Amino acid sequence: MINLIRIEILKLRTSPALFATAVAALGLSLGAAITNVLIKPGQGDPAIGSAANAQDVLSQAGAVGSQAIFILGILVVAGEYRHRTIMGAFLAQPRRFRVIVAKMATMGAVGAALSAVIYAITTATAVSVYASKGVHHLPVSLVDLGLGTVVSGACYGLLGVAVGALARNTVAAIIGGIVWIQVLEVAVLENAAPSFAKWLPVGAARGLTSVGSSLDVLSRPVSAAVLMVWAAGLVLMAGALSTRRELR
Amino acid sequence: MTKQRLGDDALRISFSNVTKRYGAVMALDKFSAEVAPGRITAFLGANGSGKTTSMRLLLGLAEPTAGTALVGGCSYHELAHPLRTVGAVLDQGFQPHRSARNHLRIVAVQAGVPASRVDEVLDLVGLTEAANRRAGKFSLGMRQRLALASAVIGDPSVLVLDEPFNGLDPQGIQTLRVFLRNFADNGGTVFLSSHLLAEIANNADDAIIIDHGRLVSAGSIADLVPATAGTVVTTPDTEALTAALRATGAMVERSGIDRLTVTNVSTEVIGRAAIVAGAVILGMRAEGDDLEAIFENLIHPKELVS
Repeated sequence: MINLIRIEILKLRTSPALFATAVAALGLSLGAAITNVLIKPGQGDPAIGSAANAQDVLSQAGAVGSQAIFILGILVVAGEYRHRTIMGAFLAQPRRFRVIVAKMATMGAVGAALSAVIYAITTATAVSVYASKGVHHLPVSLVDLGLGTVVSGACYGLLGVAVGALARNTVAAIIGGIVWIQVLEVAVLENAAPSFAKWLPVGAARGLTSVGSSLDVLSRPVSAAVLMVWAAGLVLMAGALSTRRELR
Repeated sequence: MTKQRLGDDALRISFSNVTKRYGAVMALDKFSAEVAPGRITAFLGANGSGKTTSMRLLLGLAEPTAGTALVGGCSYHELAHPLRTVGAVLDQGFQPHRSARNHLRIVAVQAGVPASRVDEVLDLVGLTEAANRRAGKFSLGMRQRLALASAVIGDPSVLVLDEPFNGLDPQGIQTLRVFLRNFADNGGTVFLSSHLLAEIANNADDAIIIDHGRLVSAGSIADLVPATAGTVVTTPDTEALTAALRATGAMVERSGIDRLTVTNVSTEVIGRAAIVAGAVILGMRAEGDDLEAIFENLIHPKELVS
């Protein structure tokens, strides 16, 4: 398994997907955080420097990073089907489930690391921008928020691998994933059935990155468990399907 | 290093009553054949005849509906070191942004061989100068060379190659031809499909012919191409040469304005008869060398008869 993980890391290092995803995620995360601090809050919005405001600003890093990692996870598998390199992977390791597990393990680690880096840079930048606005203390636990972001990033990496292995088609997987996250969960279910939505992947991720928030979310340990169950379930399904499907 | 270190049986490919059905389509129908080590075995058949399906079943990329496809008595899944046992060229792709060297570095790790093998195989297939170029910028021939490099990086004992000559320039074909001959002469098993029948006739030892998923013929090329087939002689002096040949006991048929088909005698006898008759010989070829005609005859016998 260690050799398979080495291979996956080498594949990531020698393709532009990791670098492009990291740069895009960091840029979006920084942009969102800076804009949210600098824009004067509207009527009814939390005041700059309040717990709710800091929560909103810093959780952007987690949300953007997780979604970027989710797409990277999709590319790691569906990209192999697209370029037909998956055939070489399965010829080298005929026990295909192992290949999927290795991709999962790699993306879990990469997701955690990338989330940590994006969160650290975004938070450091946001703290500086807050300081320029006269806010020198943020009433949220940055460490707790960071831990939640890292766990969320790792789980989204696993989810991306699972969705990529299930769909096999890069475009369909990315569009399907974004529709699931942004439309089905965020736009529809979080408004129509919030008590149900919090048990879904986005809802669980929100529970991980909502420190001291008044939102109706699951506790952090439960959120982590729910997200891991989602990831494990989808990965098991993807692994089983990858083993049974024939390559043509 | 000879490939026979593993023993003959460990290098033998065997298909035993392999059936593969895709819905209503019968891709393979009780197909049985053996591929022996130390020989180049060509796998011939029209498009859609089941060649690629057979190779995919052998490599574990698809499961047979019935029967077994084995390498050295094992299914591909059971091989302890797949890439060090079997090198395959199918239609594996390449990450277009990844350089040839990086692609091979990955395959080297997959095969569990040292990174130094990368430069060795790049040199072997003549891609050293293009090693740092992206595979997406490669021509068809260069991609074929890279695929071959990937197949041999694990120093396998068995090669399974689907249309390996496709896209190669004459120099590439010559290089591959020599490589495969050396590989087989060292005891390795070479199983290749190709549409280039002339190439096969000149270089393969054995042939397996398949049509509509069924075995049509299997055996050595020498057996497939009958030695007793006629010799086609091109000469402007057909009358004189015919008379001289008939005097030697040859059977002669006029098959064109300046062409005779001669049977029952060797080419040496034909040459001596031409000297006696003072006939000029412009060309001579064994009719039986025409693997294309034999292939056509085997897979479309009715059409040829009619």
